[in-house]
Amino acid sequence: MVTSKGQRLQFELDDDDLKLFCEETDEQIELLDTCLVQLEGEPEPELLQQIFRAAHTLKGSSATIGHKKMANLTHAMETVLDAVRQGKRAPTSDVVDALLAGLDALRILANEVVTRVDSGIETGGLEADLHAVLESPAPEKDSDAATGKGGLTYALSEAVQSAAHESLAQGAACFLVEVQIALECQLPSIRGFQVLQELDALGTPLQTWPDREVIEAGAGELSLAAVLISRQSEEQLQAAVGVVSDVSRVSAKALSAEQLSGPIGAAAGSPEAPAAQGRPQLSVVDNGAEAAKAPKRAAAQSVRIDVERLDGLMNLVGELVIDRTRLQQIREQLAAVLKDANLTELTENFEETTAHLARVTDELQEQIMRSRMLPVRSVLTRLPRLVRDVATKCGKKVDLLTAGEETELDRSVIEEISDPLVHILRNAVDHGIEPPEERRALGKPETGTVTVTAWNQETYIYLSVKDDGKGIDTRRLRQKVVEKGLMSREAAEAASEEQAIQWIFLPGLSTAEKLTDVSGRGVGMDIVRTNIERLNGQITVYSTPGVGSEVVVQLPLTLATTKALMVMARGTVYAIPLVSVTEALGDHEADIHSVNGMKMLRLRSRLLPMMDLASVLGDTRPKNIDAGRFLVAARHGDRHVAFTVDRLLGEQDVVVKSLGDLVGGRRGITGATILGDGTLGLIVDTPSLVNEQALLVTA
Amino acid sequence: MATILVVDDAAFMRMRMSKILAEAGYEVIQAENGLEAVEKYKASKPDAVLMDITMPEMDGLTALKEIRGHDPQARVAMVTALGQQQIVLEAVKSGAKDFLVKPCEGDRVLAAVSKLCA
Repeated sequence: MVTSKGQRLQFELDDDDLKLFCEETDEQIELLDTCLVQLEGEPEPELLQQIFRAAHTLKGSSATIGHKKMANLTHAMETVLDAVRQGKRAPTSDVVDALLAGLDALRILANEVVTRVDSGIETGGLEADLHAVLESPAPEKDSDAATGKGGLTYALSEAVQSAAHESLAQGAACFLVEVQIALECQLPSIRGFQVLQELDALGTPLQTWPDREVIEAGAGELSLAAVLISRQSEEQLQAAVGVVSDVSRVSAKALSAEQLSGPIGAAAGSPEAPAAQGRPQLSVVDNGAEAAKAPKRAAAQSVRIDVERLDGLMNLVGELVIDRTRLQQIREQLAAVLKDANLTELTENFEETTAHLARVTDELQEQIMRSRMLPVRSVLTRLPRLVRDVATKCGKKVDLLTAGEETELDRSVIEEISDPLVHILRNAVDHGIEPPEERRALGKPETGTVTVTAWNQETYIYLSVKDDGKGIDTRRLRQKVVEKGLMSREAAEAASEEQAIQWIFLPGLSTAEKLTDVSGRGVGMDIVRTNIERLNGQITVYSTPGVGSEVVVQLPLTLATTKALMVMARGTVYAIPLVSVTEALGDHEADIHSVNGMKMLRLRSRLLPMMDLASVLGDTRPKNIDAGRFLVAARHGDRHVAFTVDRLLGEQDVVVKSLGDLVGGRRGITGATILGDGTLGLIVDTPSLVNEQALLVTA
Repeated sequence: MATILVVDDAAFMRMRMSKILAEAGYEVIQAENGLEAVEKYKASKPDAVLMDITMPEMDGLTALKEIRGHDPQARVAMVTALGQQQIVLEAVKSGAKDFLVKPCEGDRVLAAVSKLCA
C-alpha cells in the first residue's frame, strides 16, 4: 500500500459530524481497549457481542466518511471477531495480540480525521496478520474442555454451580437448554419471555442468558439459553418449549457433574444439533439487549442531536419502511415464480433476509420515533403563568394542578398541541370557574381548581383539562342554537344533554354572557376542534352542571405515520385515517335508503349521507364494474357520512408525505403515502369532506 | 368443532378473522369491544379467544384480565399491532397464551388457534 505521509486528507464530513464521529469513535476504541484484554481464554457471549458490535460500528462510521484505510482495518478485525463469536476460532493470545495491534493503529487513523493529515501509518501488514490468524487453526489445548468443539460458552456463577451439583445429588437432572427464535418473529423478546415461562413451569432455571431481568423486561434477543434443573427428559423439555410460537430450534442437553464445573459449551458442537452452525448469529443486531445494558454506560452514550438531522433520519426510515413492504411483495412474487424451478434454498435465504430486514426496519422506525420524543413538560411549564394572568384579568381565584409531565410525545405534536391547549385552558378559567363570591354562595371553595393531566395510552397521547366550575349551561346552549338559526326549537329541545354539550364546538356559538377579552366570543372551540382533527386527533367534552367540565384531547404520538384503512376506488388507492372510520361493510349487508333523492345509509338508527369517494375527490374517470361495492362509515365530530368505495384493502400504518406546493392543497386530500408496490396512495381528509357534505345537506 | 370468540372493534378485521376461521370449520362468535367480549365469554364459554388490544369501552388487556379472573383456564391470544410490545408483554404476564401481530396471515391465525385449542 502506498502511503504519503504529511499529505492532506479529505473526509466526507462537516464540523458537526466530526464532533459526533470523534465522540463515538473514542467511545468504541475505549470499549475495545477494555474488553479485548478480557477476550483471551473463555469469553462470555455477551462480552463477545459487545466487542463485535464496537468493531462493527467503527467499520460503519469510517466507511461512511470515506476513510478507506480505517474501514479496511476494522473490517479485518471484525472478520476475526466474527470467527471467534461463531466459535470457529478460539480467542488465543495470538488472536488477541493481532486485534490489539490493530486497535493501536485505529487510534492513529481516527486521529487523522481530526488533523486531516496523513500519519503515514501502514495497515497492510496488520491486516495480513489478522488474516493469518484466521487461517491458522486454533491449537488443540485452547478448544473448549467441556463439550469439545468450541461454540458459544456459558460461564456459570459459583452459586449456580453449587446449586446444580446439589440438585444432581438429589436425583434431579441438570440441562443446558438453548432456544432459537425464528428470524421472522416480530416480537422475539416476548417469545423469549414465553420460553422463560415454560422453563419456570418445567423446573427451576438456575441461570439464563440473557439474564432473567432482561427477558422479563421484554428486552431479550433471538436466542436464549438456560441452565435448568428439571425432572423431565431431554425430549420432554424440547417438546414443551417447542410449543411456544415462533421457536425455531430447541436443544436440551443433560449436563454431567464434570461438565458443570467448567464453562459449558453450546449445542453447536453436540451431535444432535441441526446443521444451522454456519448460519450467522443474527442476534447481534437485536438492540433490545443493547437497551437493557445501556444504563451501565449511560453517561458516555448520550449525544445531543440536531432536530433537523432527526427529521432527516425519520424521513429515511420512512423510505426504508416503504422499501421493506415492496421487498416483501417481490419476495412473494419471486417465491411464486421460483417454486417450480427447484431453487428453494435461494428463496429461503431471500425470505430469511427480507424477514430480518422487516424486523430491523420496524425496530429502527420505533427507535427513531422514540428518539424524537420529548416530555410534555415543556408545554405544561408555560401554563401556571397563563392561568394566573387569565384569572387576574377576570377577577377569579384559580389553582392549577398538572400531572403527567413526563409523558412523552413526538416533537411535531408538541409544537401543534400548545395553542389548542392554551385555548381550552383559557376557556376553563374564563367560562368554567365561577367568580369567588358566586363560589362562596354555592358552598364551594373560593379558589377554583383546574387540573391538566397528560398520559399515554398505546399510540395516543391524552391531555385532559378539568375544572371544578359551573359546567356547561345546556339550557343556554339550547336557546343559542335556536337564536342563531342553527337548529329548530323542536330539535334543540329534543336533543339529549350529551348532544347539547357537544354544541360548544359549533362555529359561531358562544354562551358567555358578556364578551371578554380573554376568550373572545365564539371563535374558540370550533377552531380548536378543527385544528385537533387536522392532526388526526379527537376532542371530547364532558360536563356536569354545578360540578365542572372536562375537555379530553386525544392525539397520535407522531404525525409522521398514521393508521389508516386502505381502500380502492376507481383504480386509485386511498388511505382513510382510522381515527375517523367507524365501520366498514359490504353493500349487500347495507341498509340503503333514498331521502329527497339522496342516497342514505341506515346504520344503527342513524342516517348517513352516502358519498362516492372517487367522485367527491374529483376523479371523473368512468366507474368500473365493482364500483361502490363497499361502504366506509366515517365521522368528524358528530357528523357521519358513508363513503362508497370499490374494495377494502385492509388496515396499514402509512408514512405521511406532504404533497407539497407542486400539487397544491388538493381538496379533500391531506397528503400522500407510497405503497408497497411503489405507487402513490392518497390520504383522505375526512373532516373537510364531512363538512362539505354537511353544507350540501343544509343547502 | 371448537368455538372461537373474535374480539376487535374494527369490523373489517373481525370480518377477515371470522372468515378465515369459519372456512377452517370453526364456530365463530364476535364481540366489538372488551366489555362485550367478557359478556359473551361468560355466556357461551368459547374454546379460545382472539383479542384485539386497542378497543373502545374496554381494552383488550383489561378484558383479558376479566376473562382470566372469571375462568383461570381461559385460552386467549392477543392480536396486536407493532409498537405495543410492552402491552403484549403485560398480557403474556397476565395469562395470554399467545399473540399474533397484525396484519395476520391466514395460516398464522389458524396455527395459533389450533395451538390454543390443543
